[in-house]
Amino acid sequence: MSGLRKLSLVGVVALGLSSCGSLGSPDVESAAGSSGDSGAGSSVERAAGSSEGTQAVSPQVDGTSKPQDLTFWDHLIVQGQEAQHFTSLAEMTAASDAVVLAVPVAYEVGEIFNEDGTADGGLASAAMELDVVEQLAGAPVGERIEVLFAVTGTVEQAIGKIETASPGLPDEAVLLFLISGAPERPDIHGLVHTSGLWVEGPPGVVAPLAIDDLGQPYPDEIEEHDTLASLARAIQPEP
Amino acid sequence: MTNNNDFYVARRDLVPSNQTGVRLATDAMDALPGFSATYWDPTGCSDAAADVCVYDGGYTTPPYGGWYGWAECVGTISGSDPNRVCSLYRVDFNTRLTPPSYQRLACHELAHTVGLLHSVQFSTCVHTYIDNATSNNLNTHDRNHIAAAY
Repeated sequence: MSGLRKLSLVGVVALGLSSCGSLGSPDVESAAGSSGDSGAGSSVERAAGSSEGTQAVSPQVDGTSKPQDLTFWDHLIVQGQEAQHFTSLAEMTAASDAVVLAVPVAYEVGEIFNEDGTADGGLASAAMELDVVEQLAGAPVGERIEVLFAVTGTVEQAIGKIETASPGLPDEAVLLFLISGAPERPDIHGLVHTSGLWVEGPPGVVAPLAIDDLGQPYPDEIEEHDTLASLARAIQPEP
Repeated sequence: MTNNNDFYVARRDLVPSNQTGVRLATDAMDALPGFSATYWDPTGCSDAAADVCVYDGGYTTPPYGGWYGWAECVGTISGSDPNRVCSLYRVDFNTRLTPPSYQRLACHELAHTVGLLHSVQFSTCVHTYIDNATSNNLNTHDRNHIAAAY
């Protein structure tokens, strides 16, 4: 996707519609009922359960890979304790080096972290390459960015998860709250928090990596947004 | 959750603070009625009896730099939720961050390996956020859950 120009939010909506018919489709309530293959106990499954009885699917979304898009994120859920917590999207935005809307274009095994020096104690990561559609806040990150995701378990297991998930890489825009590894590794970017990745999919706008038994983050703020574009507008400062 | 009530916590070569935290958390679990928990003193995770292997490492950058610790099933999974059983868990601690209590953090992660989810009660180490918990141990409610499960 070389030569990609940064688009306005109007362009974001258009991009979403052209690729999957999802962004900017407020009539999409849920297609979760057509999936049925979400990981047991995952945030995807929980979110789908909350939409019981509202299974209407717009013609634009029906038949697309939407349900698979959410399932894709399951292997990136980490069950652990994060050191930081943010009480609002504004607080998370302030803590981020950059907030971007971007479209995933490639996904593969990323850097293997083995800082404790033990042969079997390393930790794998997944490297996702994304084309930046819109920079919403923070320092410019350029037109293409690589974001590392934690993939827990043994390195061998993590590589297996990444390779299995790779064909299902979503091609719709995602919203990312990013930090860099500066000062040690300014070349590395990752999520500021597990609540720092938002996607539009059934049912509505969700944070698929949020710890699964905590419920969706910032419900009072998110309920105002049916689409990722709407959420992005809320984050982007007024011109 | 692990597959038996004879709970063995093995470890890699942990830093002293994590050794202490894991030992204290394991000892507290050993006090649960009907439940035996053993802190495996020799360093290593190769014994087949291990239910949990604890690692630590120093992580300062994304994607692991923001985590105090985490737990993941790395063994064989059988059954299904809510009775899904895992033959071996891996718990990791990040030595570059200082948790509010090493025992509380170890208690929290070990609690996940015996099937406990996050709690809204502040009186337990498995509270949603360990920074907000007021105890380094499991409360009675959580202990009863473990007793019932095993």
